[in-house]
Amino acid sequence: MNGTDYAYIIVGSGVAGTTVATKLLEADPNTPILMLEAGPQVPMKDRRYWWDYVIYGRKAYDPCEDRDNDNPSVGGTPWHSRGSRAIMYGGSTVHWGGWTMRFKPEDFFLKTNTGQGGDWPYDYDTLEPYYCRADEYLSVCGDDKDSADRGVPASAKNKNDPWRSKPYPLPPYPWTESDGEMIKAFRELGITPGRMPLARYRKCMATGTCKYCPFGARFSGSYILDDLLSEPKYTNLKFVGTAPVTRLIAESKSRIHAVEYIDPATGGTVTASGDRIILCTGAYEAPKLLMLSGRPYWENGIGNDHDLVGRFPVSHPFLSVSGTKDKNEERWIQEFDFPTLMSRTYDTEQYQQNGKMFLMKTASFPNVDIANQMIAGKTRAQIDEVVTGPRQVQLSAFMEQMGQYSNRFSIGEGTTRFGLSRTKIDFTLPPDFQERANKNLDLMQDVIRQMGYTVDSRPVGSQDGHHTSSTCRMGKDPTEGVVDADLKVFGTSNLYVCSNAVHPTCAAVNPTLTLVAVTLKLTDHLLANQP
Amino acid sequence: MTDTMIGGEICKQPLASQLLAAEPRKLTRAEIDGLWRIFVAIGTVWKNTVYDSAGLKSSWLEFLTAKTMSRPSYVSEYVNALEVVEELIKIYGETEAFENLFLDNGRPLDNKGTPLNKPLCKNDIPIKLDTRIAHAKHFVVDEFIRVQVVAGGFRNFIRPHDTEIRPENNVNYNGFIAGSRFNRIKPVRPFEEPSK
Amino acid sequence: MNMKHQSLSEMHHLERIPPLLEWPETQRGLEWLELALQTAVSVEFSTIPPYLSALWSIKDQAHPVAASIRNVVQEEMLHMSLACNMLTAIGRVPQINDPMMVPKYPGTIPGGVHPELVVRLAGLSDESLDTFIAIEAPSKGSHPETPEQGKGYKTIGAFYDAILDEFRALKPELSTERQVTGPLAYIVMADLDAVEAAIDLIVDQGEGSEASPRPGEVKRTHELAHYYRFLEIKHRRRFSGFNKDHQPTFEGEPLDPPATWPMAVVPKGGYLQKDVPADVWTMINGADETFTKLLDQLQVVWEHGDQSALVHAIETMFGLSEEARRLMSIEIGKGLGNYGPCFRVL
Repeated sequence: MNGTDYAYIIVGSGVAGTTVATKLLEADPNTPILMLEAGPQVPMKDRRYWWDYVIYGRKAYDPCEDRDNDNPSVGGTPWHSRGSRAIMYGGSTVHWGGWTMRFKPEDFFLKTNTGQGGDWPYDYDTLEPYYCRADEYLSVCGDDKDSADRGVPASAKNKNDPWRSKPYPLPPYPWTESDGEMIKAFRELGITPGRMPLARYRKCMATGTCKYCPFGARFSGSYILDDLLSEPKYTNLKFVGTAPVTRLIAESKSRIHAVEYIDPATGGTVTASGDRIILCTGAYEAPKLLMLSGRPYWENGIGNDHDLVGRFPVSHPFLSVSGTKDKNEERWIQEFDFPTLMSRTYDTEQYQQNGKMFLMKTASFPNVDIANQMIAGKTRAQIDEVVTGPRQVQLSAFMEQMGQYSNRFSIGEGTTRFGLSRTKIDFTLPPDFQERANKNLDLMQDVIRQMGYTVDSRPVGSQDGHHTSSTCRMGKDPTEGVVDADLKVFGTSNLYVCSNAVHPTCAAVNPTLTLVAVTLKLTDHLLANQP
Repeated sequence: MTDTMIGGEICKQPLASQLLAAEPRKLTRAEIDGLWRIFVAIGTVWKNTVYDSAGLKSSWLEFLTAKTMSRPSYVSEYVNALEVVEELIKIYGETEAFENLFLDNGRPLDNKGTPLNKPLCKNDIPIKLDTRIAHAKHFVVDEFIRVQVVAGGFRNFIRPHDTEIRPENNVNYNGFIAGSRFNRIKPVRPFEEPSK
Repeated sequence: MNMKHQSLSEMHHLERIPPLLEWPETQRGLEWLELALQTAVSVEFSTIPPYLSALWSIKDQAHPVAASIRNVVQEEMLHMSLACNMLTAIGRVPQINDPMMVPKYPGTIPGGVHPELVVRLAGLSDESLDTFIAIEAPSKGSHPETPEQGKGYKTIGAFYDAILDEFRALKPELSTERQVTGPLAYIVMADLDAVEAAIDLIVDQGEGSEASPRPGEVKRTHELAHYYRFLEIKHRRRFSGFNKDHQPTFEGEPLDPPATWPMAVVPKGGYLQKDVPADVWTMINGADETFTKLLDQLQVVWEHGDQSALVHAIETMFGLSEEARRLMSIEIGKGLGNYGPCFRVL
């Protein structure tokens, strides 16, 4: 080390930060690493908390999630951050659903294909081996038979998944009986039904309480961090929680040599220097940290000479169509806490221009909350009528959003309860969005009608922050992006961003599997190019 | 329908609406037996336990331990509920006492004369709980109902004609530990491809 | 032998539990039943480490042979839990984590069941399969591949029949206190009918009853009793019904043997620190610590009727499988095969 305190400073203890630390320490257990996390630690697998979740739906980590006023939305389209992130030990995989789909080959060339958004600086085939490692790491349960052949687009053979060089680690979760009507309707309409790939370990006991799994069967960054901190060999790993990073410190234009953070014990600022600094802070925090750091070398913030930091934010508009039928004689209720039926038939190249969509049958329909009926004092006969009475079903979709230059995340006024600056969100949907969304809703409505249900609603959900991406996107040069293909901030020699912020596109599916693949590619790069 | 509150002096006594303060402690044998009587009555009133509640007891005991031995402790609520139930049984006899307490027959449980039949809200919306009987209903009865349903009571609503619990007649419910999908017995009702 | 003045804890050493099936029926009673049920718990438990060793030695855990053995293990755990519920029902506490009660390997099955068999911890092989087949062999009927059978043969099925007979004779009061339910123990012994249902299930899943599988009817693996599953694996072919001599035949679909790690037979007393490299010892000791923790958690379950301990125990067991498989991938050297977990209580 060059007179620095640490070889690596990792900001953020979510899936990206803990995975980087894991790979570095597997290669050399003595690596000096400082990991800083703004949020607190919350007990997991605690029996009292679990019962409180079952009874009241309260989760132990609810206080760590974004609240309404944390991130003011100032643009033409309201962006609701409430509940989007879990700012805590282990990060947002503590609260995620664990849906793990790969991006498809066309998702790496959105700009080339549609003129909008961005292109990745490499293709699907380059990332594919890392996707396989990510599948193993997250313990993804999926259907090998639903994967395309190499060189053949998935759509050509009615496969849902892109090609893969290795099988899934575990078999897929089965479709449930109540998926049957929609499977039939899909097939009649030429939509290929698929099984939702999920990150679940073998020890899943189907408790339906995934968000606070009593067995730890759903991957969480907190378990990885637990393992890291309990490994006696990792003597030079230091972790500080409830320690927000307030500034990066540059000693020259290219060398960002230290971070400043708040010491939770004293409230004072601490400076720690590192050979390499990696921002694993998610898509909200990285642009702000860059923007408020680097002066006098960087006038507009580190990596921001081309004024791209914080731009192109995207997430997934959530579309849904609900329908009702008169009877529920089969007495179907929710049996898994996640969707088991999905389709990527509309998540293909031909739908990229309009906005691809990823379909899933909403897990929570049909359902009757039997306990609620009893609590309301209904008699057995009345409850039987409800259970066998009108049945609702819902088809949901994530729609792809293309990044726009005019939208931007930047520094808001004041700080949140975590000591992090608020995020000002300036976001406006393009004028043709509603028309394109309506086309997708029409396709979804066809399914509900084909199932024999009467459509009762078809809303587009409000913009929310769960899958926020692209705010420090990769580009082939600094005029296109904030980081290069190796996630290094353009113009710096040792600063990296590793989070959904770097994804140039958000595709139509959840970003975390792709993030883990990108993270594993980064760690290979870091280890092959030690300073 | 009537606008008279059920219960007697104990039931109608006013109370502040938040959880009664209590130190964590183990419940006594007598307290557990009294609370068990309330739990068993759930199965009786809604006829949803196939033989009796014995199969649910261990889950219920685990729940009780979690509620009494960690904070915030429910011990005071349980003690309150036992006294409320005792008074109701004295006035109405056991069967009618539990039916009055559990079912929405229009008889109010609070001082304002409005029936307390709001479902337990999952979004922390505060409910007016200003009598001892209202506390007993919300903090004890309603929670026991959810435990009973989640620990196995749901099954009879979905498969009402089963006369015994047979795990191969599988159906799952959120909160129920159904078991591994790699088991011989599958945890959910699976989709079966229609035979051609 | 007069057992009246000896409690289970006084008995302590597992190998000194007398052959219970040799006890005259007229001299049995509640204490015999307690001893017999504790022995049943120990017998079920004793099959689990050897079956797990065989299971975990299979490299591809999705292989159909692995799936079949896994179902067997899950059912053995169920049987053990049901036996614990039965013992708890008559007011006793099952002994699970007492070091003197935990089975040692190589060793015999507790309680005088199959006294001729030596059970070892080893990877999957025809030799280990022979032992497993013998363990699960039915009392009724015979098969060329199981040892000499006949009246008085000491099988697990005969043992449970004797236990059920004693329950019927004694009609003891059954308490549901401290019994547990869940995917690994879904029958609560609330009454004699429940006890009977539980014992029928245990025997049916283990050796098969006369009705299962029915002659001429081929059943899919997931419904086959353990005995037939192990025979399928040994024959490398699926069960295909009974022939005219009521012998099971194995002429169905091929069941290819899976690739396995060559886990060596764990020596008596397990691997010692002085005999293995330091990093291997860390793993072996780590696996023993996890196993000890698992037994401690299981002990709490029925001792206190604590279902949360069962939740934790299930998770611990999955952790143990990861540790065990890491060990199995390490060669001992000199052609001696690979290491494996010792299932020792610390």
